[in-house]
Amino acid sequence: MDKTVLNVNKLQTEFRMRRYTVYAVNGVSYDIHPGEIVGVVGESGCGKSVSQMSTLRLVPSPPAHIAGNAVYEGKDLVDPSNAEYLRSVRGGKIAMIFQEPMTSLNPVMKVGEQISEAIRLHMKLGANEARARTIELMKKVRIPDAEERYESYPHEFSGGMCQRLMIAMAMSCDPDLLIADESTTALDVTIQAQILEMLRDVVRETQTALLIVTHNLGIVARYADKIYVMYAGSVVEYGRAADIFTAPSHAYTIGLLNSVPRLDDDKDRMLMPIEGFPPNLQSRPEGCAFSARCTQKLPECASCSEFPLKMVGDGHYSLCINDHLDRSQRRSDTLFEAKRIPDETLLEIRGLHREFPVKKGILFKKTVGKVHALNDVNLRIRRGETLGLVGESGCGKTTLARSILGLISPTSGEILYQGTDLTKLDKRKTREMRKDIQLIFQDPFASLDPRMSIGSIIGEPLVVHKLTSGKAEYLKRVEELFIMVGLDPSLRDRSPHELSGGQRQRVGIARALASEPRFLVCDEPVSALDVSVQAQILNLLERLQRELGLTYLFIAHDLSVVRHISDTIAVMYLGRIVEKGDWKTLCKNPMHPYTRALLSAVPIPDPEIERTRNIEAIKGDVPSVSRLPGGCSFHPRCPYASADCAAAVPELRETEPGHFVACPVADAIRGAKSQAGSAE
Amino acid sequence: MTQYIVKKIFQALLVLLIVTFISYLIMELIPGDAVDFLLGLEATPEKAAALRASLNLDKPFIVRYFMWLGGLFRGDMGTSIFYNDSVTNILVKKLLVTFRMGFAALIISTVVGITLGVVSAVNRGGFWDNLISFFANIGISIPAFWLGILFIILFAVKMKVLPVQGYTDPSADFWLHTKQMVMPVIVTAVGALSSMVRQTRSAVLETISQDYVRTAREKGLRERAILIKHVLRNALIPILTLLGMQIRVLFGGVVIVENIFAIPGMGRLLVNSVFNRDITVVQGCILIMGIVVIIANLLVDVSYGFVDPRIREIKDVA
Repeated sequence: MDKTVLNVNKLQTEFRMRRYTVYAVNGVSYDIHPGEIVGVVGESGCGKSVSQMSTLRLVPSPPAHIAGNAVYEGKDLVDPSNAEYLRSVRGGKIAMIFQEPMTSLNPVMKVGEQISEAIRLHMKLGANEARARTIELMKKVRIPDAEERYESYPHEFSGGMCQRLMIAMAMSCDPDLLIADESTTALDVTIQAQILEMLRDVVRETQTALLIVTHNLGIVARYADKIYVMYAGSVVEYGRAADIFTAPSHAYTIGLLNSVPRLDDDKDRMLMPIEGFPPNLQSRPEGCAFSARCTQKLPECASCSEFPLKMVGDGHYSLCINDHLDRSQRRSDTLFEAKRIPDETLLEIRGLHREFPVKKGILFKKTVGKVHALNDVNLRIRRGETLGLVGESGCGKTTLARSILGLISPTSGEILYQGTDLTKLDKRKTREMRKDIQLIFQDPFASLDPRMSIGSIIGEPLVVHKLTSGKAEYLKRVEELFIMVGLDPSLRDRSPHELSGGQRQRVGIARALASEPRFLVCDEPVSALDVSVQAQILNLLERLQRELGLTYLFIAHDLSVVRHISDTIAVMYLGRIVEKGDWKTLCKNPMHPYTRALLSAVPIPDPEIERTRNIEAIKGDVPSVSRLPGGCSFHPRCPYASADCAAAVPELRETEPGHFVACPVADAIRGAKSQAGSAE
Repeated sequence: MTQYIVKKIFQALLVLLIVTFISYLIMELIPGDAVDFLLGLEATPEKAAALRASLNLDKPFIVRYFMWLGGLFRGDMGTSIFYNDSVTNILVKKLLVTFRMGFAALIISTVVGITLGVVSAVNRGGFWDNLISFFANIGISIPAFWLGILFIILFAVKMKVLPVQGYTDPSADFWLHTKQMVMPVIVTAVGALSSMVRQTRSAVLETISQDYVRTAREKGLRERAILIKHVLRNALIPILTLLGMQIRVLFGGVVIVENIFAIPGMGRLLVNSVFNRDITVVQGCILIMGIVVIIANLLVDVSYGFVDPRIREIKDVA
């Protein structure tokens, strides 16, 4: 391991804009050895992607100014005089995979051509040889029917398949180093697991070094040999994966580990968010960049100008100058007091269906088929509880939320809210009902009107529903709402773009609370946020629920988040509920093969657990809702499927009190598993 | 793809039928007819009625429409009362003149417009971008009639390098023809060229910031290869859309420019015929313009499918 593939030394990247400069990367150094898997973790804006892009000079310059060096085979890639050499290395010896697979491929070019383009360029092969190699690579990343798919265009592939193609493209010229920049963030968890397992196998087989850039601590725990933790453009700590997780030596790393909900922790653990927000880097940080948010800072942290990397263990270095860091907080035992949920139904959904017609025709469109977005959904939500709804993209979660809010009308079925059927209300009554049922959106950036002030966004429901009389009462109520969600009331006159993601999501929550609703539909409320901020919002939602007696329908794709906040969990797959039960039984004893796969696909931020655990990978992609497989919709991907599964749609049946599963073979699977377990 | 093209042609024919009806209807709604013009002050109710009957003007509107439509299928667009010649004959002669000019303007505005637009986008914020954008903005705001007059004063009256106006058939004197066409073609092209520059510039800029261009760069391709293979083809869709609209705009511009430079093309014919109440000719002109625009749109629609596989597929399914 003496030879390094890439040696990055004191890399600095600044974006010199007309009015200000962003100091994105401030002296980052790292090296990678052949066959090694290195993880770079950090929150958005910490410079983890920019530093990778800078080594290959892929950041637009100007405005970017890059200093330092990145040495590959004795030549500095950052040096502009090596530009021609860099171009031969890019895509050939060092290749990158990006976050958005669907948009990273040229939509008007055949995918095979896009891969062979790189091969012809770097390996100087002829068209036919390049084509043969491309097909071979496509087979290696497990694209079915590779020969025929060579001629396909990107839109004919799913997101997961596109990412496989990107990997094939990156691997096309036998690179020495592969950089995967948040390459699975946009994918569903089961697909993420498929891709990462495959990627690891491919690089292990070819002894390619792999650098994984991600915000997901679980991923680096499972795959990385060495981890670099970045904050505000600097590496604050690095070392072997196991050391980082068992003996984190920087206050930020500790904070990060504390703020992530984990599939294996105590349910009522209060998450420990890192308060405040990451710096905007428009000035070079003085002292330790993290000191403003640090709970364990020393007096000299903010003033000290030099932070040398200090060795804290074998190959384990940290920038933190506090020698007596408290790591015990990692498993906070601050628990929320247990909720008592009365057995009183607030909302009940009975036999809900929603179909969207598929139309065809030249002049007069006629319906030729339908998409079944919701298929016989039955749910009951008790007053004061949180019902977590999980499922992958396209499973109908959002359609269900919109039906409850009356934004779309279901094809058939009932939605009973305190006994009244919401689907039968007229327009006026629906509007009145909106006071009681509110929505928190996923995207805190797009869901706030950019031209309104924060104060008027939050106060708007008060005006619409005429809830306050007089200016004084209005202002008092708005201020109350600001304080309730932990926002400084002096932000009242700011515009949304002046706030950070976490602050905006608080605005969204305050707006939803303005009309004093009893029921909140939270549609992926934290998926756009960084982990440290995500913890703040989750804690806020939990606190508000207890203080105001709210009931939540919490929709998310992230099982660890859902598990953390929910009392009851329902799992959806292609428009149907496949399993539901209280969180404990469902997570401890998942019965449906799909639930098992979902749970197994979520990486846990603990290398010890991850290294010994096998992922119950499921094959294939989520099928399109317009071509639903017959019988149980999961059977084509299910490892336990029998002929019966394709014949009839399985009913939800109660396997133990309060635990419903729509799988005929669930008992058999569990029996087999527990036998196998006891045999070991 | 074939299904898509067939569908588009079918739609185009339908639109064409509607165009024939509207062009007939419009002239019907204008007060006064050919009889008023032909008889002038000599008009008596009896003479007028007799003339109307001989011109079939006494028949109901819908009957006359179908008679005219039936004639169209036989290539007969009626007879001009003013020129006393078949409308088809008159139009064919004039069309050639207009097409030659319009086509030259279209080629110039497209080729030069796309080139300048790409140069402008690639040097975004630089000297060439500022220069090109400056002139493109001016070009868009200048009305053709004003520019035409300006050109005449400058190049014909003051500098005396080009003839003031007029038209010579290329077979008679090709050099004179070319000299006479320079100003009209440029004046027609300026507006279209400027909007093409702006459209291309924004389409290329939009495409350059896409993820797949980053991928192409990451692959190690040269900037020129990235521009040609990955950027231009993707930027082509909005450019094509504009091109389809340009053809219509160019036609409108030709009417004005032909009148400024006294070119005996369709634009002039149309204006004169409107004043002469020469209804059959006006209907013929409108019909031809309609056909040209419909064909242009059809070509644009079909070429979308060739450029973008996604459009091809959506159109095949939907």
